[in-house]
Amino acid sequence: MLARLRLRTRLALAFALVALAPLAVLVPWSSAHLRSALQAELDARTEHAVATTQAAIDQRGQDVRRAVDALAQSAAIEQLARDVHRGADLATAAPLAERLMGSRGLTVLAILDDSGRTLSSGHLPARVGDRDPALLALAHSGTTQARFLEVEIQAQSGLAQVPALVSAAPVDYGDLRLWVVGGERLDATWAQSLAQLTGASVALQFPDQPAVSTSLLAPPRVERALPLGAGTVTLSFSRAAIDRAERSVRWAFFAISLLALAGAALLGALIARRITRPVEALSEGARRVSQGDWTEVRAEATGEVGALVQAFNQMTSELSRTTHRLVAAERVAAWQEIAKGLAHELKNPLTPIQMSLETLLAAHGGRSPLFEQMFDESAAAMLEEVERLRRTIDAFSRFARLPKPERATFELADWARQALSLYAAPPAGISLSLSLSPGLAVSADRDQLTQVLINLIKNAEEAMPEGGRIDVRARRDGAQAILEVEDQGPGIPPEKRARIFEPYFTTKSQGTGLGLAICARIAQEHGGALAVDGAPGAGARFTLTLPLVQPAA
Amino acid sequence: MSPAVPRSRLTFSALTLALTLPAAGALGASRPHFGGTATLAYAGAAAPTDPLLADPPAVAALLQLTASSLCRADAQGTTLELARALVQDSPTQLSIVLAPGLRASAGAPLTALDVATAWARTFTEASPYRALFAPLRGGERALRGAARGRERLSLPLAFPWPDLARSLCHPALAVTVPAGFGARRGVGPFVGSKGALLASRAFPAGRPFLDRLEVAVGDERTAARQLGLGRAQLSLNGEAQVEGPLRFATYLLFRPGRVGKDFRTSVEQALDRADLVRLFVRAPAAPMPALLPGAVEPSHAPGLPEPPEGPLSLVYDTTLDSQRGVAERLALKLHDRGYDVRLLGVSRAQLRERWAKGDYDLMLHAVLLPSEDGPALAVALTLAGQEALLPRELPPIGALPDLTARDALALERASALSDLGAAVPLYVQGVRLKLGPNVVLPPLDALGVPDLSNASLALEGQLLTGGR
Repeated sequence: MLARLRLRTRLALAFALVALAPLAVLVPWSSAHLRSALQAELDARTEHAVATTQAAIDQRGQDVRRAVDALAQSAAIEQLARDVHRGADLATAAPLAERLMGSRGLTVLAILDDSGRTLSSGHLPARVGDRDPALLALAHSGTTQARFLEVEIQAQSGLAQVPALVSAAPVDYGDLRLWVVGGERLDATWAQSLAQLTGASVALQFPDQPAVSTSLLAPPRVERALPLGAGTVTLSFSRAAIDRAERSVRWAFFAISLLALAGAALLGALIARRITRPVEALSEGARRVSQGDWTEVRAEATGEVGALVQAFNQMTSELSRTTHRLVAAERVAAWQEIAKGLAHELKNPLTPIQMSLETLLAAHGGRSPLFEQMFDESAAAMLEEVERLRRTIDAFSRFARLPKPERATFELADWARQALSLYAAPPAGISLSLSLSPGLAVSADRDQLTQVLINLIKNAEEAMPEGGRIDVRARRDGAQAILEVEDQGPGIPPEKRARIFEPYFTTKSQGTGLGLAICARIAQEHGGALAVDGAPGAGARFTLTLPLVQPAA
Repeated sequence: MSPAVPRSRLTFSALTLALTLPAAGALGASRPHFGGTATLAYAGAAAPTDPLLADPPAVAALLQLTASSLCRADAQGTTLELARALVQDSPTQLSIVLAPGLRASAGAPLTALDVATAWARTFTEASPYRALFAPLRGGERALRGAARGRERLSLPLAFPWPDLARSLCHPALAVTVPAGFGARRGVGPFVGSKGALLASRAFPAGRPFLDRLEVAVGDERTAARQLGLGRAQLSLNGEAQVEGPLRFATYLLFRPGRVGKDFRTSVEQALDRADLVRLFVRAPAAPMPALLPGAVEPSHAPGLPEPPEGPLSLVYDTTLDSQRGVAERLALKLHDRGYDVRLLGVSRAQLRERWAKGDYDLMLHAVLLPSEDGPALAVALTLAGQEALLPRELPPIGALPDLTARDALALERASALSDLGAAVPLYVQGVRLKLGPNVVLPPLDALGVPDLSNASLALEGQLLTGGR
């Protein structure tokens, strides 16, 4: 396929490929480098967010601890302790935690006695009067740090366990010990604050709890998990921006590649055009030369191509001159040959005529009694020779005045079958065998072609006086139609084949020597050729070659 | 201009004088008198104008300022307000004569037909207070046809029911007529709106002592502050100071098909009413172990509760301040027993609508029980979905001529029937009312509702100039 491409196209493609090669190396390398850089940036951001989250959790734990300590030392709690110590009704303490909780920025607050009984609960007021073993266990654990714990709250969907960061502080009043247990619920609000702090999507997951998350990032994403007691906080970072950046860069590279390709192809085409224009002009010049046009090739070229154009023009000029000389010489030779043949043809009848006239003059001068008889015989002989002269001159005249072919497109097989059907029955002993392939359309003068075919058939018949078979075949050979007429006669010796199409050359005693010359000229007039071959002694085969009509695209 | 003063007010004035005179020395001879402006600090949202929804004692007290019932029941008897007479023609016939010249706030005459129509709303609005008319022969139809002329109504009874007359004093049966935009107007001792109420001289029971009563609506802390600063003379629904009957009863209703097997047993096992009242219900309040306050707690049948698989919704009234806490406590206690309870707060109108449709799994529902236990039992049984028992349970009570005997039997039946219906009695509440130092108010009525129209200002050094 590449071989079919024009030189200019091939050069343009070559330029494009040359431009593409560095891009093919550069683009993957740049993409990989970019991906690596973006991933490193994301990793750094993730690490920073994790550190920030951990710091925020620690800070919040300290805040909770301080708030609970402050509450434990507050006058309100001291008052409560006094009330409880003197046996006051629990109902008076019940709303206290709810009131204090908001003032300290806590979302979990319970006040327990040392048995774990809830005196007041801000996050679950309904728990008042009941023991809360989980909070009591935290209080008795002795830790000074805030811890992650699951606390009960009343939600719209019923009672629910929610994670919380909780701290406990004791309140002693005489022999009475109360516990202030407060903290912060790790809910959507808390997650949202972490999300704002870190720029990540935050999800809290505790065992047997529905996950709480700020917003669900669509994949792809990168996740980092931090332990929160029994649960985890998961920071999610979207990779979408990185992927978008990578895609953008890839598209940019792709666009640049396309532009580079297009530019290279265009540049290649321009340069190739500049390079190939003289070459194409040389090619066109060569084609013209092959058709006999010796016009000089005009092309702007320098360097080797310019020298080539100049050499070509010199060569064609020289060739033209040589050809003209050859043609002139050939023409002279041909005319000499024709004149020789014509002279021969004319001289042959003249000798009998001269001899007859001399015989008559001698007989008339000698008053020969046979004069009358001799006159009749001589007159008859001279008339015969004159007739022969006239036929020779007519044939020559026809050869000289062969009309231009009147072309029509027709099917070669149909035409041959029709032409041969008009042909009279072959002589005894001669048989005609047809092998005509269909689909061979030619543009030709039907009458002239018929003349060629009949001539070839007659020649074949004359070559087989004892009889034989004449094969007529029509077939395709590439873009040409081939019509063959083959006989089983003695054939034509190779040394005579070169001259057999010359006028007045004949191997027959009665031939004018113009039949095959006319046939060859008709073939030539149709853009074809007539040739002869065949093994000596095994018959002659005349091959008429005509160009096929190309079907319309 | 001399105000019209009915006998009842005169009686009250004398009573007030008698009550306040011993304290007069200590208080510097403060005493009630006509005139003056008082401010009532009300801790809560604006009161509804529909008597059927204005049944919490504090809200009822507010509504009765502008929309009275036929009468007011108190410990001493029945004080007529919109009625001129309540006549028991026979054991099965009660005749009512309206006070003459009744006009609603808009000025239109208030007729016997208006009264019958207002009461018939207990049926059309599917109110539990329709139980008050259960003894009527013909029910709603008899009620609609009770009007006899402009001022008379005749109520035929299916069986003797001596408590019907005092039942008609219930605030839910306050007589109101439509006043446009969904509001209702009635006839009360005061006229006006938007917080400024003026004494009505046309009120049949006589004009109130105060010339003007301003109602300042706010939260509890504001009410307490206003009272403490002397900017308000009464505080309603804030701190509790005045004692009285506790008739505002709260029940936990349930739908038996939805709550699993032996739900009542679960509640009784999980719930400590004393703790509930002490920790989660605003005083004044008391546990109510049986259908009616004062009834003996029944012995509960043992059972093996089986919680349902799905969640239960507990509907409660967001306009009642204790109900959310109680609902949360119930949810918590039931959660400990395997129930998944979700809370759903609604307005009282929506609560009543859901109750009428049976659209609930669990519901905290409070009603103002009538002062007599017979009618109260009728209301409680209706609330508990046992309305079909009324024709069987009420006649024996009504057949007793003595009120004490009737109440005793009603309480006995309340105790016996407590485990039958789909209601778990929880607690009963009273009104939270606190008076300023210079305000005089008679005791709460038999339903525990204060009669604010009888409030008066006592001025030092000034003799009581007269009563109504």
